[in-house]
Amino acid sequence: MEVKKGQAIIIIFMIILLMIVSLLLPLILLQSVTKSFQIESGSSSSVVLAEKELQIEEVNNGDPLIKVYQNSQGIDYIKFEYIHGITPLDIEYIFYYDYDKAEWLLAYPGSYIVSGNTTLYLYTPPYYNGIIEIITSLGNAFYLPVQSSIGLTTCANIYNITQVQTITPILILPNGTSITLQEGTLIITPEPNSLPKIATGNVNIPAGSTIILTNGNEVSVPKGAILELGNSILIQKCIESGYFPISSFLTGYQSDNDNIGTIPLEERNPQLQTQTLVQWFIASGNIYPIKIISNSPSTKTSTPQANVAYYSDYAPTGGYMLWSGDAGLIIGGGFCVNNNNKPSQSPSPLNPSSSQYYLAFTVQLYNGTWVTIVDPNPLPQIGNENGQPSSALTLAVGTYDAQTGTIALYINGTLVSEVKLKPNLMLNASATSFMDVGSVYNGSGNNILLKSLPGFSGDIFDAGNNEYSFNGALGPSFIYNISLTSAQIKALYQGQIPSPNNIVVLWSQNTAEEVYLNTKTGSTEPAYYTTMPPPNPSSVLSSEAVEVYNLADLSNLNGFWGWAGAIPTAFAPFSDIIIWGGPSPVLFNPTLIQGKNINITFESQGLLIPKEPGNYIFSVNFTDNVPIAENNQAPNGYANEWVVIYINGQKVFEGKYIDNRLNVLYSNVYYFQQRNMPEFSYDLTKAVNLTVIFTFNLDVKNENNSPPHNQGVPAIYFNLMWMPPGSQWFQYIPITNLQPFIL
Amino acid sequence: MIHMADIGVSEFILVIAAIIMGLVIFGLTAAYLIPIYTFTNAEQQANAISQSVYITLSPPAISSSLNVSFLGYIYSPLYSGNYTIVAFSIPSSAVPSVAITPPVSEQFSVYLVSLSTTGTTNLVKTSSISIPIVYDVNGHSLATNVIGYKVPANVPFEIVGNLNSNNVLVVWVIYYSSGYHFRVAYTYSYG
Repeated sequence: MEVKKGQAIIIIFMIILLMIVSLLLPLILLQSVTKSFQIESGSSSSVVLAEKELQIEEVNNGDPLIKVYQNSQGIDYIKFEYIHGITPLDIEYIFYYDYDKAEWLLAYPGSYIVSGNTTLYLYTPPYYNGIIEIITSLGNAFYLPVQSSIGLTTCANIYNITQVQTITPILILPNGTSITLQEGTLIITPEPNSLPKIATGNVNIPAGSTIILTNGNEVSVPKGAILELGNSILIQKCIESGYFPISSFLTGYQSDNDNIGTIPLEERNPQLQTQTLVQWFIASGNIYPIKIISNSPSTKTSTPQANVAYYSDYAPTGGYMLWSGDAGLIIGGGFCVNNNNKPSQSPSPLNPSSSQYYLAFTVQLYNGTWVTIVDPNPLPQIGNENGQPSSALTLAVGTYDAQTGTIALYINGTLVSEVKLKPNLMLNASATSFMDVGSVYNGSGNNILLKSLPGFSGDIFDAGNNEYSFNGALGPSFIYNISLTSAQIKALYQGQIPSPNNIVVLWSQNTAEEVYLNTKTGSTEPAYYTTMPPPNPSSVLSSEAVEVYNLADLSNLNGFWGWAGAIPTAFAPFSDIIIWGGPSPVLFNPTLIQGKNINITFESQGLLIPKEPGNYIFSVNFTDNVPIAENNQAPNGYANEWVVIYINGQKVFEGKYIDNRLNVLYSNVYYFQQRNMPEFSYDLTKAVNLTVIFTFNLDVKNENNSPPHNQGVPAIYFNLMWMPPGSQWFQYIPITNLQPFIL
Repeated sequence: MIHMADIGVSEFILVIAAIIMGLVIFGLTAAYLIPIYTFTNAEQQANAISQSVYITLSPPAISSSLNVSFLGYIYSPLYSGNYTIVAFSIPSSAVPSVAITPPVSEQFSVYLVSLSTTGTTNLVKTSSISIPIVYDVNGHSLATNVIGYKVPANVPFEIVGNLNSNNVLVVWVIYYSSGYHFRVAYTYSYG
C-alpha cells in the first residue's frame, strides 16, 4: 500500500509537471525565437531628442549661420559662419533637386564636419537656385534657399539690436550709469564698419556714436562705453544687392492720370508666358475697386477668397501697378465679382472713404479669358503720402508658370493665394500691348470694360483712365521670365536679387534721365550731352522725353514718362525716409536724423565688371538732374553729401556737395579736379574691386540758416555712371556689371 | 500477477491522459496566449522604437514632368533595419485629424536616392509590400490593406507623385515586429 501510494504521488506530480511544462513550453519557445530589436546606440531616446533639439537651437542662433550663395559664374557655395562659439556640425548629406532629372542628388560628395568658419563649393548645376537640404548625423534637416544675387553689398553705419532674449542688453557708460536697451534700438557710429556686421556678448561702442532708443530719445556715447548684449544680437543695416543710384526718392510716383510706358518705336512688351512680376508700392488716396465681370453664373461675391481663380471675359478694373503685356499686378480700393458677364453692368461706385486696398494678380490666357487671384486680406491705410491716406510700403509679387498652369500671389514674401489651373496653359503674349507701370488705359469715359488691355504708351501727354490707373508711389519693378519659387521670393523681400540672369526688365524708378527722343527711330541721347538747342517739340523728328532705363538691358524695353498731370518725381514724400539702391529699401524715421548732425554712411563693395576692356570715364552725381514734372514740388534741397571712391584699394575720387555746392577734392585725372568736374577715369581690362563710401546728413540749413521751410526732408542722391570706350555719353551701369565679391 | 498488471494498465492510462491533457493545454496556450503575448511584445517594441524615430520631409520640388517630389529621411539611432513607408494624400481640410486619417488611394512611389552628384538614368524603386493591418503604437487598428514601400533607416529616399494643390502629403513610418505592422512615426507636408 505504501509503495502504491508513493507511486501515485509521483505520477500525480509528473502529470502536474507535464501540464506546467505544456503551459510554459510555448511561451519559452516563443521567447527563444522572438527577435529583440537591436539597441545600437548607447544613448537613450531622451538624450537623442535633447541632442537633436540642441543642434537645431544652435543653428537657429547662428552657430553656425548657414547660407547658400551663388557667385557671378552661377556656382553655388555654402558658407558656415559661427557667431557665438564653435560647436562642430556633423553633416551627413547635402542635397539639391535636379528639376530635369526629377531626382534629389548630392550637392556635396560625402559627409563633412564643420568645425570653424568654412566655405564649401557645391556640385549643383550652374545657376541652380532651387532648395539645398542639409541632413546632419543627428537626423536634422535644414532647408536653405540659394541666395544668388547681383549688385553690391551696401552697408550703413547703423546697427540694430534684435532678438532680445533672456538677458536684456545694457549700455554701461564710463561713469557707471547703465541704460537698458530694448529690441529695435539703433546705434549710429561716427565711422563706417566700426562694429562687426553681427555681434553678440560685450561690444565697445566708439565715442561719438549716437544711440537712438525705441522711445525716440538719443544718447550720445562718450569714450569707454560698453554694450553688454548678452545673447541678443546687434546687426548692421545692409542692402545685400545694392546698385546705383542710391536715393531717397522714386521717379515712379504715379497719380491716377499718368504712367511710365514703352513707346511704339521699340519692342512694347517682353511677350512672356512663364513670368514673375515684382513691384514695391505705397497705395494712396482713392483707387478704383477691383471689379471682375465673371463669366461663371455661380460666382457673385464682394468677399475675395484665397486660392480661388476668378474667370472673366473682361479685364479686371483697378489700379494697375505693373503690366507686362499679358499679366498685371492690380490694387483696388474695394473688390467685387458680378456674375452676369454683361459689359453694361454698372461698376461699383468708387468709394471715396475707402480705407483699405485689395491686391490682385491677373493674367490673360491665349483664348482671351482673364484669370485673376486676390489676396483676401485687405491692406489698411496706415500712413499719409502727398496729403492722402496711404498703405504701408509693400512688396507685391505675382507668378505664372505656364508649364504647370500655376498662378500665385505673394505679399511681403508670403504666399497669399495660389491656384493650379491646368498644365501647359499659354497666355496671349500679344506684341501690341504697351508694358506699363501706373496705368494701362488712357481712353476716356466711365464704365469702360475692356476685353483686352492696350497698355498706355509712354512719352505722351495724356491721362490714364481712372478705372485702370494706380494712385500712389512705386518702387522698383522687376519682370522675370521664370516663375520664382517661394524661397526666392522671400530672398527678394530680404534684399537679394535671385536668379539675376532671368530678369528681363528692371525699372528701378530712380533711374530716369532727360533725353531727346528721335521719334523716327526711337533712339535717344541724353539732353545734357546735346549741345545743340533741342528741336521744336512739335517736330516729328525729336521730342524731349524722360527715359527710365531697363537696368537689366539698357538697349531694350526702356520706359518713358508720360506727361500728364502726374508726379513722376516725388522728392521724399514719405513718412519714412526710404533709401533705395537695390531690390529692398533701408528705412529711417526722418525725425531721428533730420536737422541733426548725425552722419549716415553707406559703404558699397563689390566687383565692377567692364563691358569690354578699355578706358572708362566715370561720372559721380550728387544730384538728380531730371526735370520736375509739371505739378511737382521742387525738392526741399539736397542732403549734405560726401563721397570717396576706391578701385582695387586705390582712391580714385573724393568730393562733397555741401550747401548745394559741389567741391571735387580729388580725382585721379588732374584735369577734372582742376575744373571741379565730378569725374575720374580708369583702364578696365578685367573685373576690379569697387568701394564707394557715401555719407550724408540732413542737417541742412537754407539761405537764412534756418531749418527747411516745408515738411519734406532734403533729397538724398548718389549715382555713379560710366562712359565705356567708344561711347559718346555717360550711361547707367547695368546690374549685371556690378557683382558681389567672389570668394 | 493479475493485480500487478491492473496497476500497470491504470498507471499507463493515467500517463496517456496526462499527456493528452498536456497537449491540449499546449494547444490552447499556443492558440490563445501566444498571439496575445506576441502582440503585446511587438507593441512594446514598437512603442520603444517610436520614441526614437524621426522622419523629415523636404519642401516639395516640382519636376519638369509636373510630379511633386519630396526628399525623406528616417533618423533611427536605435534600430537600423528596414521600415515601411506609406505615402498618401489627404485634403488639407483633413489636416486637423491627420493622425487618424487612413490612406484612401495609392498615388505615390518611393525611390532610393542614388547618392551621387550626377544622378542615374533610372532611380531604384523600393520593393512594395501589402500590409493587412496597420496598428498605432497603442495597439489600435489604423488602416487595413495598405501598400507600403521598404526603406532602410538612416538612408534618404524620394517620394514622387501627383499632389493636387488643395491636398497634403502624409507619410507613415511602419515598423514590422513579430508579424505585426505598427506606425511608429508620421508627418505631412503641403504641396
